[in-house]
Amino acid sequence: MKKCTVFILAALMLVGLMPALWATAAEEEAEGPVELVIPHYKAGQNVGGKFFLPQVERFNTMYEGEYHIVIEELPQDGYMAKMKQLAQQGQLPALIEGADNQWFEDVMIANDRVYDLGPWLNSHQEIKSVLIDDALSFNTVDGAVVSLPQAVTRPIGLFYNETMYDPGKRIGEMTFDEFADSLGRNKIAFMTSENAWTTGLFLTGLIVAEPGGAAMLRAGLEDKVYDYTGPIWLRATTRLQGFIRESGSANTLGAAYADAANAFMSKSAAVIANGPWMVNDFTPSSSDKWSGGFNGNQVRGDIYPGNSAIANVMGYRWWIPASTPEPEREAALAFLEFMMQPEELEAYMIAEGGTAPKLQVSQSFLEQQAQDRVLSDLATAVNADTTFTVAVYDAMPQSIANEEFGKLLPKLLDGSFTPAEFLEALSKKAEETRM
Amino acid sequence: MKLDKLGRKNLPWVYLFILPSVVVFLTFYLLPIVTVFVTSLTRWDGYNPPTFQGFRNYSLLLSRSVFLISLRNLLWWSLIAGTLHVGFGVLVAFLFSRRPVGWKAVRTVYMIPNVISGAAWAMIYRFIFNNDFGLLNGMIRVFAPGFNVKWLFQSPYAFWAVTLTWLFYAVIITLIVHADLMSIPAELHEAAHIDGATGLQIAWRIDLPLCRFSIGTSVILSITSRIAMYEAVALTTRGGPGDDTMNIPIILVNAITDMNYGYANAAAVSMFVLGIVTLVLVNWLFRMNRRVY
Amino acid sequence: MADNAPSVTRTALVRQAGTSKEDVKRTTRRILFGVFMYGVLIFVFVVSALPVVWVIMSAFKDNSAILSSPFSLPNQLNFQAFVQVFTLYNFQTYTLNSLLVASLATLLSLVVYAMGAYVIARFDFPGKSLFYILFTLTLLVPPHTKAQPIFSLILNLRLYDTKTALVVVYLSFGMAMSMFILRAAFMAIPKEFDEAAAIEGASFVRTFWMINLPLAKTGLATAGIMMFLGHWNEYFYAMLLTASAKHRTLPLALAFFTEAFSYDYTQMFAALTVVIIPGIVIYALTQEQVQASVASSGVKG
Repeated sequence: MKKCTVFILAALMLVGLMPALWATAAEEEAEGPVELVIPHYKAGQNVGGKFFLPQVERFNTMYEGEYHIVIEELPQDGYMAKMKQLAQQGQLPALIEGADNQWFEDVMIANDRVYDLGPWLNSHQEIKSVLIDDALSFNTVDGAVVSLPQAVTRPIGLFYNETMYDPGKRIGEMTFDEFADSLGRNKIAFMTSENAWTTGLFLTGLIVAEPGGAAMLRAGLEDKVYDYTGPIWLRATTRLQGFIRESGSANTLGAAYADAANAFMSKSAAVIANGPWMVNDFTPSSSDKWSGGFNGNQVRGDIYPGNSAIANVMGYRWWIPASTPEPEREAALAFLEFMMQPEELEAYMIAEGGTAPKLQVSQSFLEQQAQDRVLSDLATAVNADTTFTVAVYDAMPQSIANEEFGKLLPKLLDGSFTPAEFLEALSKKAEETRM
Repeated sequence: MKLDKLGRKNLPWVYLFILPSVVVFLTFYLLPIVTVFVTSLTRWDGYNPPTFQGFRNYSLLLSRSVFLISLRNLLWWSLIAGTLHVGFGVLVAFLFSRRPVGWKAVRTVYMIPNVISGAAWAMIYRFIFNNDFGLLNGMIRVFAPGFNVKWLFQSPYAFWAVTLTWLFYAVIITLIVHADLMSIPAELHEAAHIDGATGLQIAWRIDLPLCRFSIGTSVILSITSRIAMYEAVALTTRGGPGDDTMNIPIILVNAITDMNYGYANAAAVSMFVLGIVTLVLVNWLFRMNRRVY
Repeated sequence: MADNAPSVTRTALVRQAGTSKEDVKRTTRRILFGVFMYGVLIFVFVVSALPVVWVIMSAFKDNSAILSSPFSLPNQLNFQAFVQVFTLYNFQTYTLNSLLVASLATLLSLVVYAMGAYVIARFDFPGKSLFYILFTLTLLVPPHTKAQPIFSLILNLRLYDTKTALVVVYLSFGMAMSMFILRAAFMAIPKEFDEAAAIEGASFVRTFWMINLPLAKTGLATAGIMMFLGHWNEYFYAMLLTASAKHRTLPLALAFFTEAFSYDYTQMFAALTVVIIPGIVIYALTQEQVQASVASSGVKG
């Protein structure tokens, strides 16, 4: 009897599978517009998807019948590792955003596996003219433009909830001591897992507040820092440990990005360090992520104590693998061109903040941007004396930035490591990556 | 070997029939294993051909604290698996052999964790250990309000939290040992009873020694699963905090991600070696090469 | 205690002879042992069932109920989270992928290993014991150790990121266990059947297909169920060998979406439920076979 059931079950399963088999077989033969399947983390619940997915839709509408882009959701944590795996047998998608610098230079660029955007940029002067100079020179390797340089720079600072925390004056004008005092019993949304992004940003602010800190990080952009035992690191990490233990939100231990964001958007924490793209989560369309009386209109933006903000245009952004076949490359280039149109750049800056120094922006854009309180907070927070810096992540070897830093932080928090021990362990890990 | 009539006539067919299995064996076992051993002596990034570099990967492996910590963790986990884990499974098997009311239902339910995906099970445990809404802390707080431990992220709890994801789930051991217990001749028990032995003495003096083959097998199985334990770590702590819960499969996968294939395969060889050492050691310890009856 | 009749009578005899003081002692010991025994059994039941029950229960509660009262029963049967999991996160694709991969791999394995086990069980030929020993020894190879060579092999076959890759790799997984179970199954079939078939002039393939295979169907079902469960649950190689959503299987999708689900625990629990239920159902329908095969071969999946 039971056996009978099993066989019927198995038979039913197989019958159910037949259409799927046919479907997979038929899939390959479909003709029509060039379709790009782009695995990307800016999808689903990821905060970056809020602007990116509709942008892709706008592109698809504009090029209807010609090109079609499908975004396939990947977790942000692990995106680059997957790209490296795909690269290994030339199965890279036509568009990739960002790169692990060391790998990109040593493997992809060194082996001519990246499509040179130079000629394309030369024939699209309107795009080339809005690119930020530093970004363009960083992305020009041996005369080839290896990834699309940025036109928009977005200073990364922090956000706070004004119904919980009233700094009294601009945070950028405070020292970290004053900031700690003004914070009172309010909490900061730190992370201690994944890459510990919000914590790393805060640490960056602390490092820049130390004399020589900004220069050290800047130097680390090209020659990664492997030794973290110096006095700047020690002082900054000691202060970080103080902040995490005194002011870390209740869920800090083991918190992933979503936990930190949750803490901020449920009023369990009053402050979170993050980039301007997070304003997507403060618009009413994200209200399903809010709880505990949180509302996006309670959020204010500012930069770090000690008048510093993180802004780095010297990085690799969108790139196309050299192996991409002609029609798909055309589609990918069309998408890059689409993103770089003045209207799209403006829409991007309205949604996720930032400034485009070389772009002649429209009047309506300026008005619109002024209306968004958080973004104008950020825009007015910077002044002539503001230090713009690269983040600690830019100065660390990839596996330290992505894995070890976040994995060691819980030990700093629960006190099983002193700051000196923490930095020593981190340095040892970094040393091992050099073999 | 003497071929029977049927066999000789059909020899070509026989080899044709065994061919697919041989092909699978060669491509998915023999070839990979040989590759693993050979390339563990090379530097290999997957782009350029491997270059021979002797035992450098092994000396690197041994010089790194993460591997030594993994070995230490493995030693502890193996000890716990070989004693508490196997002990619990054997205990349940003995209780089953007394046929208490409802033992079949318990046996059925006990199997459930083993028919669930290891990935899903690891994630279920991640939630059980969650400090905000997890089962464990929820239960503890009934007795100790204000109890606050982040099991998977705090030393030294993380190690024990990972241990708890498998410690009590010894159904395979229970089933093997139970089958063995059932096959012990009833006369042996009767004879012991007549000699005035108590239940405990019978279990200890007669049943346990007679089950030593299945218990030895259980110890081997449970230790080798600790050597290969991946999901229970990768989907809970990822080896953290720090390197507290690292083990060799995580090192291996990280090395593959970093495209450090020679190093990855050196880690794989170390898993093989540890497995064989376990096999030999347990065999010797339980005298498994001698007949039971 | 009463595991066989004679011992009962003997206990009775002993009781008659003993003093009442000893009798009390014996009874207390028996009660204590009973308490201990049922205590352990209840513990086993709870640690095995509670996590699963809790997950399924939580899939019907909303976020705030999960956070505020983890033990409470859901107050309504709300399937919304399941609908969302299937519509928003493509779980029907992943379910279909899992089914497709696990069924195909199981069927292929059964064909391949049934052929191998049949000749090993029924014929004498040079190399027979060597093959059998080698095939069953594969049980001792931890699957992770072959990760890199298999990864490279799949790349070289140009099968990376396809369902075929998973089918091919899973095909190799059940080798030791299938050989073990199927060989025993074929050995149990009386040889006279073969001889009768030979006299009637049935071909080799026909004898195998029409006579032996149907007679070994219990063994085939057992091996098939065990392999199907193993394939359905596999995570490691699915993670290593696929990239795109088109070829993602359920356990992988589950691990992938922790980020997406982190704002909505209900959906996370619903997704977990979707992944674990089929395995439990298959097991529930076939538990005798699963338990018997575990007891005899000491492996799962």
